[in-house]
Amino acid sequence: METLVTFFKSIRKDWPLFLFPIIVCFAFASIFIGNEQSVFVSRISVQNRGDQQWDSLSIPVYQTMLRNPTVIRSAQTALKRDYNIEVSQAQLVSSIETKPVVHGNALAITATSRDSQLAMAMGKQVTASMYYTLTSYLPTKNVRIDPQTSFKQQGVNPGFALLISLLLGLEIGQVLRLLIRRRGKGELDV
Amino acid sequence: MNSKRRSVVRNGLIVTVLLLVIGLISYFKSSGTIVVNFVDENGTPMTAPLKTVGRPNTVYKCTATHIPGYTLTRTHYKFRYAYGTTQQQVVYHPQVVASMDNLVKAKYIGVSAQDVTTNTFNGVQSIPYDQSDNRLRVLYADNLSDWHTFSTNYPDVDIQDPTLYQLGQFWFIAYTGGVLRSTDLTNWDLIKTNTSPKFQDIIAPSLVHVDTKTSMVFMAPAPKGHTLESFVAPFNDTTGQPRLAKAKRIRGVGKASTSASLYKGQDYYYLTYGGQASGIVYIKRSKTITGKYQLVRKIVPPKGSCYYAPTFALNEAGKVRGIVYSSYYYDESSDLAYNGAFMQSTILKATAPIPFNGNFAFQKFGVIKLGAD
Amino acid sequence: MSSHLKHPQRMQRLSLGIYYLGTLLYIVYTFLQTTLFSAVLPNAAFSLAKYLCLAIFVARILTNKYDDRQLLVVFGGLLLAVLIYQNSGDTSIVVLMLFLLSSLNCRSSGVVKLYFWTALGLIAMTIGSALVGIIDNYHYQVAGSVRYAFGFLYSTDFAAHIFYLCLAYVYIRGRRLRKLEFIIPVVLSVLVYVLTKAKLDTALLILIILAAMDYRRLSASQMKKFDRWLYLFPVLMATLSIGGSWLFTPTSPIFVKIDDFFTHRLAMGHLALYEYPMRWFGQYVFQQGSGGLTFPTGLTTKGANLSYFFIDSSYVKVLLSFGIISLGLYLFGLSRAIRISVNRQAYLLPLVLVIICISSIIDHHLLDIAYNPFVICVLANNAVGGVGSEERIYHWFKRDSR
Repeated sequence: METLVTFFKSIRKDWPLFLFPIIVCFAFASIFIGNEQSVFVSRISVQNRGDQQWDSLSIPVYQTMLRNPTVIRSAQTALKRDYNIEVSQAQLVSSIETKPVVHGNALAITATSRDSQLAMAMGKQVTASMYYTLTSYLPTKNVRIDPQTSFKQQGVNPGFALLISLLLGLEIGQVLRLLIRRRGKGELDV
Repeated sequence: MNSKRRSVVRNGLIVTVLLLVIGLISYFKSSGTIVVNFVDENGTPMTAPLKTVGRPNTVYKCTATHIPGYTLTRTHYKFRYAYGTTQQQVVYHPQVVASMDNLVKAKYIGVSAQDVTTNTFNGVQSIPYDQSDNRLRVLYADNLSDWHTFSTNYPDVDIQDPTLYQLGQFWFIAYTGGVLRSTDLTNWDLIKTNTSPKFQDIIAPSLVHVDTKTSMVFMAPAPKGHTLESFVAPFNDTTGQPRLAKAKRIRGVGKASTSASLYKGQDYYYLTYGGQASGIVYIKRSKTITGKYQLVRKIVPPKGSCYYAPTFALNEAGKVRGIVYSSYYYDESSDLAYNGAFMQSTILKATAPIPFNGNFAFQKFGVIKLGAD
Repeated sequence: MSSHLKHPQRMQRLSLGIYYLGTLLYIVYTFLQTTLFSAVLPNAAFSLAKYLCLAIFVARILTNKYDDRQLLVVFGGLLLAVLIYQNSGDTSIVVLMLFLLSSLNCRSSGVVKLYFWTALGLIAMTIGSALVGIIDNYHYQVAGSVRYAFGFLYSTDFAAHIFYLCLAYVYIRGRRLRKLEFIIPVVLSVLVYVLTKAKLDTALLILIILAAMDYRRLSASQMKKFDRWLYLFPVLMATLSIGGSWLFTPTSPIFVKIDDFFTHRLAMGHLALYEYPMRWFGQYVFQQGSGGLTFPTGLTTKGANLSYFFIDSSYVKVLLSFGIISLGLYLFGLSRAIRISVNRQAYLLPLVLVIICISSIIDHHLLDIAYNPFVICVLANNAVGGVGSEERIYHWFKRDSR
């Protein structure tokens, strides 16, 4: 029985068991650090036409509609027509995510892809497709695409990578140490 | 087999199954991208590249579309997805001679730039990605509303705001950043404009005959401040460079304007430019080339759209035959779409604009009327 | 550090004290979040409580004592917490994870007792203030009947609190439970049904009575007949819940009937599985509950209330927001807890966990300390009775070495 403090003191004896897994894990993680994903975010907001109320309560409904096959299918054909991009509907669904904006006035549509142009085209086209669907379904409401879009490259955060490889390395090291102890006691011999 | 060995076997099996499941899932989740570039013999993009995403080691069958005036060695291609992105090329071979025949017989010749990042659909260009990528296109027409793209190998450089100018047997195409010179519109001299410390950006240049000499009219950031101003400088047609040291400012061009175009009439110099914020095309005149220019006429766009990049359309003798301007409109769904170009056949009074149509959405358009009137 | 090395016993007591303090704070603030006090109290107070909990649990994890295998659990848990946080950006998941980890080596019965008294007090306080008028007493009108929420956000929340309170009571009393005390769940279930019209929660309350009676009635030898399969219950229930939601088709009449019985929970689960991809380490899942309120969305002509998007099944919720790995590990932990108790012929905890597994199909409180104090059974010491405090968890993987 030991606390984490005494544990960290004790692993100084077996440092290679812990250091090498950590290094290996970090080296593995560093492969992904350069491998960046492009993220394109656009927003749609819905407003009641009469009382100008923001329609934040129904945002989850619209969120569900985004995955609607008609929206996805029209986005798919539009992508082929306008951008010369061919993706399957399943790929389109898997690379599009929706999130309500925290204060609830808008629906953010996030398109993620390794290719920046793909991400941007998919985001724009799904947003447009969503816009037309919403305007046809909700004739009494003002649907608006926020002209502000954001585009960023998202990679593995080196801090997280370090933390994860540290913990994973400690875990592997501890497994190795237990294994070696049991072998030393002859428990694993056949 | 004792119990310990059995448990080792069992644990090994569990680990294998786990690895198998993880491997299978990651295989089905992995994807590869194929980018098919449709290019001419110079490697210049013809249309938007095709991008397709699929599972690695599966085959994508591609049928290259027919582009009028070009031939393909074959039309069906099979590409294999790999991990990551693979670039593929489909090369179009232009039928230059046949096309040149048509061009020589045509009444009008024009230049414009095609955005090759996205497709054109019903004359509307889809929103480009963060940056547009334009390639030169030479066009000809008998009827102003029906333009045909001249099929040739175009230079593989990003061309914006091209204008056309004829000098003897030479065609000059001035664009932001340089000048192209050609006799047959197939072999191109690429001449990058040398900038000077005072003029570090030469924007939207055009060439003009002034008293048997050639001058370049262009915009550049004013020496003080950041607003763009218009200048005129002598142009050396042998080297293809303007003499920036002798550049003079043109007075009477409103602030924040888009590219200016100029020609010499019988009594006056005429100048046209578009207001950047308003989208209004202004036509002005002056007794001297540097101004100050006085307003003659305005062309006001309908609400929601915006006119830009006006140029004078001349004939081969240098006489004005009309004014050409481009427009774009702002779609409600934030679709920025080039709405093509228009021409009015008179300068001083309004006539019905003739919309230009072709097989892509026109941006800035420069026109020369060929042959005798 | 040297001082606690000199006094290990004192340090351990201190560590346990810190843990109970953190647990108390954690229960109180998550509980208040399910009541309308969340509208009265400033948001900053909740955030403060959350970060305070975080600090306390970190202190507990640092001072707690582990054996070699538990160290693996600690590092693995931290790793999982980091990965889930990286994927979802939700700090409350980190608090939950640290809470679970800091419950290593402490008795679940203690936590359940703590929960029982805290929750009893808080429920009394909430109902009291709702009746007095300090906070609103929402009542929802659904299909002609009135459902009262008594200061809670939804009437089903109220019912779920009562349900888990009863469960905790049964667990604490154990064998000492008198026949007279069976009246309590009966009365409560009648009350809950009359006031909230929550059919399924009432059914679960009745299930508790049956289980408690059975537990007293059945002898160990009778239990033995089926106890060997008891530990598969969590996996079975999860498969049923997720599989049912996955396979749900609105056109199939059988599924529609089942879905009607579960008040559209299958359809909601299906929607959620359609809406969000399954991830290894979860994601942020936005939920919009209306507890039966209808908002005019202008979308539907048939009157289906689509603005109500709430994942009611715990299994689906954990699967989507915590990820496949977490759900797998948690189910494994539950099975292990059940099996260990069954091996010791202590049948009370397995029964309680089985009831929770059943209720998790229809409510979303499996990993919610505000409702379910038994979350910690996965890692904590579940031993009942007066065994010495040094007793550790019986490790399933230790069998080989013994």
